[in-house]
Amino acid sequence: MKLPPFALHVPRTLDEALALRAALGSDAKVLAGGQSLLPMMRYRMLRPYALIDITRVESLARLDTAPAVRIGAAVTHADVERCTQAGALFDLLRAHAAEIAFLPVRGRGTVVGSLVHADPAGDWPLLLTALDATVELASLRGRRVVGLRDFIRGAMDSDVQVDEIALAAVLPERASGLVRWGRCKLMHRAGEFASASALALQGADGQWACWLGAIDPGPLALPATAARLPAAGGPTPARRDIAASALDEILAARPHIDPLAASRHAQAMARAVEQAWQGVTA
Amino acid sequence: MGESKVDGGYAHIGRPLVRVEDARHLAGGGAFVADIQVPGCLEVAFCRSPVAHGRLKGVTLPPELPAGTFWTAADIAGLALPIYCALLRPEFNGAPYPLLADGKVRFAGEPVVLALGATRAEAEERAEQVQLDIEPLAAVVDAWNEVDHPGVPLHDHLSSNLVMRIGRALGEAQAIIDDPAARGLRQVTRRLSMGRVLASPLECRGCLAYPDPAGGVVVHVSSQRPHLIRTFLAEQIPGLTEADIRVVVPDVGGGFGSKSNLYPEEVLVTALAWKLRRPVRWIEDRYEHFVASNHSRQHEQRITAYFDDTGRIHALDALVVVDAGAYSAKTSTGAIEANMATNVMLGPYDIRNYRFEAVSIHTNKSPLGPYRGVGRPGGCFAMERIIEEVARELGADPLDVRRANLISPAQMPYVSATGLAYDSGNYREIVDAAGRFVAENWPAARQADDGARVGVGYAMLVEQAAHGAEEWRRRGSPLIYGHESARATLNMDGTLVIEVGTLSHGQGHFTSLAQIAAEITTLPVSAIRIRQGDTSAAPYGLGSVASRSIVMAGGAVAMACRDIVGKARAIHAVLHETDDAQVEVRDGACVSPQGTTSFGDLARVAYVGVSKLPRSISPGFSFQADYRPSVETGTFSYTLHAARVSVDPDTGFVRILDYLVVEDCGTVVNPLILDGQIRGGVAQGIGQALYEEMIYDSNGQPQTVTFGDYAVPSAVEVPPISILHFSTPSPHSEFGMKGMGEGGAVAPPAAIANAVRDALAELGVDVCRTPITPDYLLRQLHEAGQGGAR
Repeated sequence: MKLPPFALHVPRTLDEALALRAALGSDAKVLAGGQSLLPMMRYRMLRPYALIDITRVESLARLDTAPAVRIGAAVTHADVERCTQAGALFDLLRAHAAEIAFLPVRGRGTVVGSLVHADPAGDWPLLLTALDATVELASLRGRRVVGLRDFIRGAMDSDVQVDEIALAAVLPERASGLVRWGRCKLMHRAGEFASASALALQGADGQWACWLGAIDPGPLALPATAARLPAAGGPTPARRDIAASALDEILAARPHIDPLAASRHAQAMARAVEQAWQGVTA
Repeated sequence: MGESKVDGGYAHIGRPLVRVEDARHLAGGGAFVADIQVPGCLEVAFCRSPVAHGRLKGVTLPPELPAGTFWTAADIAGLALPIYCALLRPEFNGAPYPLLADGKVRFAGEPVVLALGATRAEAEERAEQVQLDIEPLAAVVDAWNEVDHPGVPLHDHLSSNLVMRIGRALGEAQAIIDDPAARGLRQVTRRLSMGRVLASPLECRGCLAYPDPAGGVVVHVSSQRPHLIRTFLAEQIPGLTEADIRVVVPDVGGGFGSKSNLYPEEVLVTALAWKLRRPVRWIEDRYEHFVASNHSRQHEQRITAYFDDTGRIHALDALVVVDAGAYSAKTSTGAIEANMATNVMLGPYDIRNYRFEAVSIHTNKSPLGPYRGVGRPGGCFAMERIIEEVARELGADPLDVRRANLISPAQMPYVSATGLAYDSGNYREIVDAAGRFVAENWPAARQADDGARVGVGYAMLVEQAAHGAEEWRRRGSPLIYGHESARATLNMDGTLVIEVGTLSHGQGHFTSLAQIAAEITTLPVSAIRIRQGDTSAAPYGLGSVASRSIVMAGGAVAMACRDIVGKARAIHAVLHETDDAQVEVRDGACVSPQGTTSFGDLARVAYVGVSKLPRSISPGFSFQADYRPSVETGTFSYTLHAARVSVDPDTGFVRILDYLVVEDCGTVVNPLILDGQIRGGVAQGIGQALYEEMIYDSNGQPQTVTFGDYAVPSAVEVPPISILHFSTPSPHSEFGMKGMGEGGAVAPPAAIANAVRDALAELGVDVCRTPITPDYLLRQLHEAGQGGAR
């Protein structure tokens, strides 16, 4: 299906973009990579009368790596994949980006767009929630910063006001101290949305965090499973034990989940832990 | 040109020539229907039914748009007729396919109102404003259930939703089935399902029609059968004759059968261009392809084998129920799939006692049509799954059980229980080759390092192809695709142009047919051009379907080229005052002791040197040949597929580790094209086996309308494919060629299902459906207390 008629605005500065956003209100949607928005418009699931393309606003295209990681709203998955900064955190960011869809999608789709879209199957809501990122937003009224865990309110529902533009996702400085990580994204077919996606992260303080994505309504922490993981290393935890622990937590947190899906999430968690233990950070 | 001989002692046949058409396509130089620029063209979009079944009580059109923007069933009533096609069998109950829904809608996506606009986007905007008043009716979506619990008929003129039901008990099948114990036979039964799929060519369908300044109408359509489309359009559109219609098929981006039927859209576009005297175009988008192009397969089967302790199958009992969709497509009809599946099910096996029942049911879905293999994947799935279970019951090697049942070379030619006349073959040879290859090359480990279970599965197939008049008559086909024509014209510069009635849409005919022409004429392939697709130029042909082109068009090309050579020799003999018998033909020239004359110079005499020609030789240098095979029951290629898969018992994910095809399609014209056909087919077969399914919910709403929902395999999912070739030429065709275009797509569902079954049998998992989804396997694993965290 063809796109329905709409007005396209291509501001060159943030001020211009914010002025348009304020003037157009709920008639307009912000266009970044368009990898979700445009198909939804083709299928008439969304019908904005105007699009504000923010990809020409230079300041939004920046990917800063120090002192904290700051990912501008026009930074694509491929930009992250190609980032050359050394360190465990960046290895993780690259590995995560590289497994999103296929290259043509990664070359257009944006990290922040994926947060605003808040698809539970999305990759960035999982990783950036696990890393406790914040989202910077701006409007003519001013700027504000929201924790990502609050920003994503539910499936396809994020906290962007009608006059606001999400400017960036920012990682806390402590994220740069990431020591070890493991991830497991289960896809029936390469490039598809995950049927299960899990992360195991060990911070500089030795503490572990375990998170699941691709689960409704949004990323799920598994603190009890994380607590089983010793800070000081030691023998690899048995896959079966981790999976059993994860399954208990999943069923407690999401009692109505399809049992097949639940067991696949638990498996993904166990494999993410296994990968973290193997120290695959190079 | 070199004299080097390859297999079979041919100079050109058998050479792995890179396809002459590829460079243009790889450079983006293709020209498809959507690429053709016509000024003032009106673009079409359809308002399609949002419900599966309902009474169409009214249509409200936006009043502000000019008259002539919208066309309803009432508006086109006098312009064009509904499409109808029936098998010539008394059991057949067909239903005409309305061009636009009239009175009732019968599938979600059925065209109801046609909207015109200056652009497709404008036409879509207009179509969206149309309001349909539809009183919903209960949808018929479950063909298997419909057999025993018939619902309300979709079509008022029919008493049930049965399209066709045929069955026979052949040999002693009935006696064996009634009392197998009396003969000491065991039995094994499976209830199998094969999902609904669709062809998904890269280029969807499309049609552009405009008035021809010279009179009549020119129609560009993405189709596999240009001449038949011309004939059908003339039949559908009153006042338009075949002489008024010129169909020109440009590049076609794949068809796989989905572009072989006549569809409402192309009739409407042509009728409107004729009526309005303006160019009109419709380009199908992917959503339309999902909801309103022909679908294929969707079998529900119950299969029983009766066998002895040696694995010999004494009888087979098969019930095949196929979901035929809402209408009988022209020309395949809603019965083609079930009838074909039961007809070919016995494959390479010598089984004389066979009871079958083929049932086709009207449902509220897009009509069924052909897709690479037509019925064969379902038949192969049934036979090969059940023979695997026979082996499993006996604890026997599945290849040994196959060996125990194969038709032997001494039995060739062999007429199967259902009347298929197998021409030649050594089936045992490919089984043995596969067994050796697997033993020598594939690891025997049953478990991978990561804990995944590993299994190997096999499937065999006999592929009837290039069937002639006798076979089509036997099936009750209203049209007999019994011949093919070619016209060869020799030019004065020594080039040879051959017009054919087949339609290569990715099969490489521009190369393979040229190789045949080169073989006969001794001209280099570079001097030969194959042309197709323009009904005002090519002789009437029946198009490219049913793996017929290389045998049928190849046969016609060979005949026409022999006539060219014959005339060249005759003119040379006259010019050199020698005897015809003294003349040799080589390197595109006639050679005799008196001298050498190139074909170009001989053509020059025939065109502009007629004073040198005796009256006994006519001027000009063009020959049309019409090939009709001497034996009209078809050629029979045969294949064995083997798959090695790993299955993750904790997730249900299947990965194909290795894939082998052992095949024999007689004499091979171009081995590169052959391997390409096999690999492309296997990729599509992998899709059916593991990923693809067109899903409707219980209300008849299509659930899979994008490639996000309907998963086709990408290069990542298709493993390297090993291919072993054997060659048992057909006694019935030119050079011993056999058709083979579909087989690659036929066997993978069975081979992969058998491999998954092998991998998981110890864990209590059966494999009775395609696609073999992770959930299907994981559910069984959980029920068996296996896999997962628990």
